[in-house]
Amino acid sequence: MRQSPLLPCFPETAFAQGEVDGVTLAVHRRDGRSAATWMSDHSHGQRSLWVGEGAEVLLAQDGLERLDLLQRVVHPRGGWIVRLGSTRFLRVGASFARAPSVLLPGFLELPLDSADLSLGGEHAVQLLSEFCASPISGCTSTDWYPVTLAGHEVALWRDELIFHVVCAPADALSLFATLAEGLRDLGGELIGLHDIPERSQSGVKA
Amino acid sequence: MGNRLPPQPGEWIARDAPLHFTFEGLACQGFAGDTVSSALLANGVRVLGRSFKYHRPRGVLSAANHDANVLLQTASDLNIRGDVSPVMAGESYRAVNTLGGVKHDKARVIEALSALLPVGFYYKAFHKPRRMFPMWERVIRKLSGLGRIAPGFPETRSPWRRLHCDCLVIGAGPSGLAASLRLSAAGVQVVLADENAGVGGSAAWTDGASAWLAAAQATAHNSPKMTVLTGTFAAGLYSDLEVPLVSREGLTIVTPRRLLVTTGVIEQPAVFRNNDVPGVMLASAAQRLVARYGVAPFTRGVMLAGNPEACEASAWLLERGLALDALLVLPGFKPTPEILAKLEARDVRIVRDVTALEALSQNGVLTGVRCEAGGCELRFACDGLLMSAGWAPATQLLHQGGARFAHEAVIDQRIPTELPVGLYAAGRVNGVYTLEARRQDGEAAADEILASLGYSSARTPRPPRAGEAHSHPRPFFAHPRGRNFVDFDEDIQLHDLEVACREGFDNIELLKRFTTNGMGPSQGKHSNLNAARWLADYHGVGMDAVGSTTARPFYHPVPMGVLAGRRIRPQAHGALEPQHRAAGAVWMEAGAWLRPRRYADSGPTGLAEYRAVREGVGVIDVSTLGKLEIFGRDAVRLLELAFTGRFASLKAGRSRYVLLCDHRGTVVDDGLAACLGEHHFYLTAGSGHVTATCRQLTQIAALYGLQVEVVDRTRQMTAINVAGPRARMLLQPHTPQGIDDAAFPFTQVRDTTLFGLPARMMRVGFVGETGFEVHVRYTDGPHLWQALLEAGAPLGLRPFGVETQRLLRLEKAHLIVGHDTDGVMHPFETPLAGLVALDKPQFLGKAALDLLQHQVNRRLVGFETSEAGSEALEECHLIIREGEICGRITSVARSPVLGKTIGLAVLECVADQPLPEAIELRNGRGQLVRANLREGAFYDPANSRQQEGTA
Repeated sequence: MRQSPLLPCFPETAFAQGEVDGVTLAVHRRDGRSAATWMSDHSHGQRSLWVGEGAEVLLAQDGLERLDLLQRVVHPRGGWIVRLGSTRFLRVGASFARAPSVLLPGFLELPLDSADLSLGGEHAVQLLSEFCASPISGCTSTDWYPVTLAGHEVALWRDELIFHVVCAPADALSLFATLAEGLRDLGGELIGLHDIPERSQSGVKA
Repeated sequence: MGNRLPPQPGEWIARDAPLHFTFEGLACQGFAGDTVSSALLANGVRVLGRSFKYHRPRGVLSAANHDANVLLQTASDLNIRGDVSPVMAGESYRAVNTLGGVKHDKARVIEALSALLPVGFYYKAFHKPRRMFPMWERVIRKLSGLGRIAPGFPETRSPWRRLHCDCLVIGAGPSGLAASLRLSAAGVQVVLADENAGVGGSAAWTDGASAWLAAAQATAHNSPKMTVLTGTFAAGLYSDLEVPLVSREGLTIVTPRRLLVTTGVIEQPAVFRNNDVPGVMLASAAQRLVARYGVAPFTRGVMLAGNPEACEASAWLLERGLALDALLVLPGFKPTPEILAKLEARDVRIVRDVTALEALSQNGVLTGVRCEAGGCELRFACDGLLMSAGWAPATQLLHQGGARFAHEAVIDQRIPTELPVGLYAAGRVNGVYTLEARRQDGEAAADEILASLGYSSARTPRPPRAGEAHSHPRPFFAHPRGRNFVDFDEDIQLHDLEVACREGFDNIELLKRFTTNGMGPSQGKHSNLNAARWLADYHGVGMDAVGSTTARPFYHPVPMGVLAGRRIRPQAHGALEPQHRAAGAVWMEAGAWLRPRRYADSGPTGLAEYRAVREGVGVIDVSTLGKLEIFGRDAVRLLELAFTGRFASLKAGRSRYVLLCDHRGTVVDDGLAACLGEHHFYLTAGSGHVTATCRQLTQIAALYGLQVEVVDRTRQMTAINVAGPRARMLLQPHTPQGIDDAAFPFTQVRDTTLFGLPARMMRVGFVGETGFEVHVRYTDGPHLWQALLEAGAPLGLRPFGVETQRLLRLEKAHLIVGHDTDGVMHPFETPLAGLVALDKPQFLGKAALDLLQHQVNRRLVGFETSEAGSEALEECHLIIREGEICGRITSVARSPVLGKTIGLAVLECVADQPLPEAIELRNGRGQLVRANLREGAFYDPANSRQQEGTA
């Protein structure tokens, strides 16, 4: 069982922990409080980098050919995939079998640890905009949007009303601290994964 | 209050909201909307500050912070700009730069010593006799600086904001307002910023503008497409049109698609004797005070007229009930008969062709004016002398944006002639002066912007520029007794400019630096133009020949707290930080990371850690190491092109030390390249350089069209080094494959499992013992570390920190790139020369290294010594040969196992000549310590312990 890199940011005294898609993270805020702007840990699920010419062959087998750069595309086997480079892809899902790399020449799968912070609500865009020189409004629901946020290299993606900030685990704590300070100033709150408001739930699951 | 006028149309104060404050202990009253300066003048306070050098009494000059006359301090803030800062209820203000208050400033005696303090005196004074310098230093420190920082200042964090918009308009005068309204009506998202507390600029005191201005203000504030930011100035213009806007609330960084600069012009003072006396001010200052704050800046005034605006301002002030006794006309300026008749009808005496001018004062404030005209001397009693001699365009942002300028002779003003794409200018900064022309110019600029954004609209033509000069070319009156100030911030007089030119500092750049003209808080807003005019006269050339100095950010001083914002300091956190903290780690910074320097239970010297590695087993967190996964058909070719060594022959399962140089042949990084398959390598690199190394590899791949991916996994993995004679004993039971020398020899690498976790293991040797480096996923790191500690406890395992690691590697004479090498060292100056395969056809830095192999003028050498004084040797201590410096120590430590001091040093040498056997090192006590040079490792020179291992 893996732990979310953000788990230390959601103390057990205030947040009930649970396992979601193979990852332990904060699922419920114990006092039930919510706010118009919120932030949550969305680091569940599985992520892998698929690298090499063989990756394109593998994707073609699932009907995913000629993916556009930095566009998230739903994967027929669940989750989604995004092209990060000419022969580099990010595979994200609740769980997926490791690719048969031994059968595929020129293919390498690298399991990826990362943190995914979700933000939503009234001031989510304002909160992110403070720390990012790129226009947050430029991130659409199908984008994988690499930016520098509060000095960290991250990627933004968007699930309708919810923004996600994905970063390497070594950046997670520092990035969280900065965003949490901004969230506090805006009157926002941390919530558990399952506390995310219903109206924002569309497409929550990866 | 004594100096308040009846309510003025559109004034900015709320007379139903009085507030009370003090100034230097004097109780005062103002209104909400007053600035500190306006409130003080309303209370009859004339002396608001003391000048920087001579501590002369100063009052309001521009009422716009285009000078630094009014800088104030409170208990919680300093260098408050009185002209533009709102007065706060209950606040206690004091002037900065005084000893004992603005009225009885003890430092005013400095003016009596002014003959001893000519411009530039500090370049020539205070250094003889040398023994007195510490005294002078104390005096200067006490006297210099503006404001006093108090420890009790509240700590504030002002968040930055970011705005993206279609068009940012800077300056909300007539042209800026007109442009913004046109743009927003067309559907463009506009941010309109103005440094004043309200919009309109000088339209507030321009006849015929009031109705238009009221309508424009209402539209601007109600438009959903317009964001109006008042009390907000543009601090500078940066690349991609990015503009930081600064207000009391903090910093807003605006990234517009288009930028329109309508910053107008800055009124310039005339230069005459005592032109700095409180009561002497710019005409526009008087108009600002009347129109915005309802303050009468004087009871009886005289206007110095050098341009048409002087007459218009005179008429405007008279209509508002102020008393003007005379209009002193500068030679060469010809007011129209109509305006002269209008003024004479109001009993204003017209004095033409004034040839001498002097302000008279008593108790530090203006009491009258003396002038000469037509051979006669005239005196006027007055408490207000207004100067209207001309304007300098506020072109600072345009300069920073890369605009080109030319001096337009008719209006005698520099105007923009070429603007970079996306940057526009309109209004008086563009040489357009009448109200109607300014509005038209703004609308024309808006139409140009709309067209560039793809909106179709009618194109308003640009109006012609002004057909007459609005600035007097020579507003100077020399006086044998001086005190005719060019720069009020720095107390620079005409005579100072003469001294500078006599000493040879006679171009505009040198004149500025020698005299400090334009280097004060207002950055030359009121002084640069006059200095340039004077210099043009001095050389007998035109203004274009003199040129101008470079306007750099910030436009106004910006509080450092605003720049600090939230004080974000991005940090990287290893997965094992909580474990280290629990073990009592003493931390050190390593770039963005924190690493354990040592652990608390190791004692002050860390010897326990050292012994664990040399005699038992130790573990160290090396997660900060750069980690790059290189995969693709051209992986080998990439390594061959990037690094100095050879990789084609590197077999799967083996690793090789790598060296990276830049195009100049300088060593920039080193690491390990592990071959995991025909097209798969795993590269470790220096912690501080991995981002640059990754970028370099990616660039090479792109340049050569290589089919290869370079994936930076530095922040996604945990890495642990296990080292010591018992390392194998610790690990073998917990990994499925053999790790003895036969099964897992030195430099081998494999993907396997360790304690049930997927792990990449490498046989390495940095510290000189049997060593294994284990790389796992980030989130597996804590499990692995805990498992190692538990399994290693019976073997005496200890974690060790960077301090111990550095000592251990020094005993092996292993260099650290960036610590033992500097910014120009090439491999042939180090023991790494053997890693450079110059017979390769191509690699990064080869061209330079082909030459540098014959240019070895210094060498990185090892030394050892047991001499007395060696305990006081430190890094950067010098090597001395025949009394001359010939090198320095880069690393030094006392070796516990060897019982002597060892180190690495850079030593100057002659190419192809043998090195000496010994060197002399000067320690911190000034003693010379003899040390023997030594090649190779100090400890285990045969490398038997790390390569063969001791199972």
